[in-house]
Amino acid sequence: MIRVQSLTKHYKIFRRPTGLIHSLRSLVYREYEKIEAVKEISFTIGEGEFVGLIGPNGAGKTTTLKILSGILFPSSGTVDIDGFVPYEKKRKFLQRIAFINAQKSNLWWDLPARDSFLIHQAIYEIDNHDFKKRIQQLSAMLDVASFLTIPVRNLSLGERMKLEILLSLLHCPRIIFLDEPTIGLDFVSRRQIRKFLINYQATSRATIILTSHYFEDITDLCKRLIILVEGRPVVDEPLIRIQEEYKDYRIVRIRSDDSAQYKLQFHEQIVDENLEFTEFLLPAPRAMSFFHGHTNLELEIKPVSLEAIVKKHYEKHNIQNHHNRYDFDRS
Amino acid sequence: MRSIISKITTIVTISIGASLIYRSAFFMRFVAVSLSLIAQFFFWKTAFSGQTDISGYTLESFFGYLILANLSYELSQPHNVMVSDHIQDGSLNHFLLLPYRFLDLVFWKLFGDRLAFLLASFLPFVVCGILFWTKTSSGFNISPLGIILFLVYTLGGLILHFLMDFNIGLLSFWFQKSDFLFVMKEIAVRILAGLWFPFTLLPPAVQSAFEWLPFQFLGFIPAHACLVPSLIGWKTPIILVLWIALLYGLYLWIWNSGIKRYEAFGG
Repeated sequence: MIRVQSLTKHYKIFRRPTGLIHSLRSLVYREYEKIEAVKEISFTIGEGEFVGLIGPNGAGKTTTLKILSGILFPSSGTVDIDGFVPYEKKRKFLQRIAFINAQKSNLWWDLPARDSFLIHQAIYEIDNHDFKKRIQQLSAMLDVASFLTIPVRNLSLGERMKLEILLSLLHCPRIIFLDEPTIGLDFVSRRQIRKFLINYQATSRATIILTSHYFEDITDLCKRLIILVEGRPVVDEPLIRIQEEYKDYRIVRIRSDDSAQYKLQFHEQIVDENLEFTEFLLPAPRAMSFFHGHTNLELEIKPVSLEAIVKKHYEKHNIQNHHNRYDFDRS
Repeated sequence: MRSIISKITTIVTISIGASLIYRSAFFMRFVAVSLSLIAQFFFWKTAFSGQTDISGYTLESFFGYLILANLSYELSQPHNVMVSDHIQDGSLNHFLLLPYRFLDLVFWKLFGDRLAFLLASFLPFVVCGILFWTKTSSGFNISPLGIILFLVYTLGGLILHFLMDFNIGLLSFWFQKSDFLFVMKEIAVRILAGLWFPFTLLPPAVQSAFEWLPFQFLGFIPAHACLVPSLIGWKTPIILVLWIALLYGLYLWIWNSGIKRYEAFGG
């Protein structure tokens, strides 16, 4: 069971304008800015849940995972994971968690993965028989048996990632933190990893928290979604409920010379816009009736994707203004 | 106990394997040390011309000292510890999640690396030594006790040197880079470890000051203990243990304060 209460994390970062004068000035005086990466996050995750933690870059997803795994000390708030305080890094706690991050390798670069596995076995004190059985089982599930004796540096990114996952799961962790495990992988590798995670969770009943920017990862894997925006959770609901909430909605994409008038009318419902088209998230009957008979536009109606729903939430919390809204027509 | 030994042997064995992949790096390091020793040999040959000894050293015993001091220094070099980099680029995360201390893992990895260096470079050093002593008939012997003391003090030097570098690296919790401290340490070590000449050439007041410093264990003491074991007094091992204890205490303090500041940047 994971209990997070009023969790916050602040950083101090050094800001310096460019130029020689500022460089020299920074030798004696530095201006620091306080960044609030995580602001008052509270949630509870039950045993065996598969939860997606999503949000735009800088929303605080990875920082939250780092606090939950004990890498970072929180600035305030409490975290309780199966009775352990993560940052105390008790041996028993560390033995029951795994943190998988595609951007940081835990494998020894010049050696075959098997050597890294042996170190892992020694550190986690895994019994020899269990170790062999586990490698056999996981390598079959991940289809990596033939890569175990090849130096890691000679493997592709996808192969490395699968071995990374295998390594992290050797000690049968009960809680797994997956920080963008499929980032940078091709769609085949992504699908294989997703399939593995589904099967793994079905058999192990481990508690898994996943961060990802790929919506297929979220929809295929997670039963519950926590959306973070600027360090705060704005949605925390079962995925099915979120999807149900929008079951009568459609994405309406229009291409029109008069798009400005539609944008003005439905500006709250815009989920995407560019120089070519604008997309609105609208209730299906309203969309049908409103656009019926309009001849000055090209209309496309699509089912609502999770991506659109999440974008809508970002929009609601004003994120789009900071990131990717192109207000060409309004200016 | 068995699991502790199993952890150490696994890390050391795999580290030896990893280090031997870079045979060319070992070879180049050996060439660099050898060239430096050859240059020093000619320098001291000139210094010794016209006199049979300087402060009780013949040219042969002097050069024998230099070879041993430099060998000991090379064996106690904390290569690839990179604590500062791990903190700066966030790769420390991985180590923090292991149910094993970062310090222990890095140390045993280094120990394996140094053993690999010993295996890869020991033979050339031995060949050099035999050739040197045969050609110059210096008339002194290295006793088995001398060899044991050399290895023991070199191991002590390795622990000291490792703790020095580890602690300097940990300062990256506060400073963006702590490399400048490594440069300062390197300069101090070159002079104070007796890698260019033995301390016994220095005035007695300076010698007695150096006797209390940790740097002597990175070259001077192992070489001296190997050549003249009887000259190593009871004070020396106590100073070594005290320095290790002090640096270890410093490590605990820096680590416990620094880890709370760790920001785990980079993904």
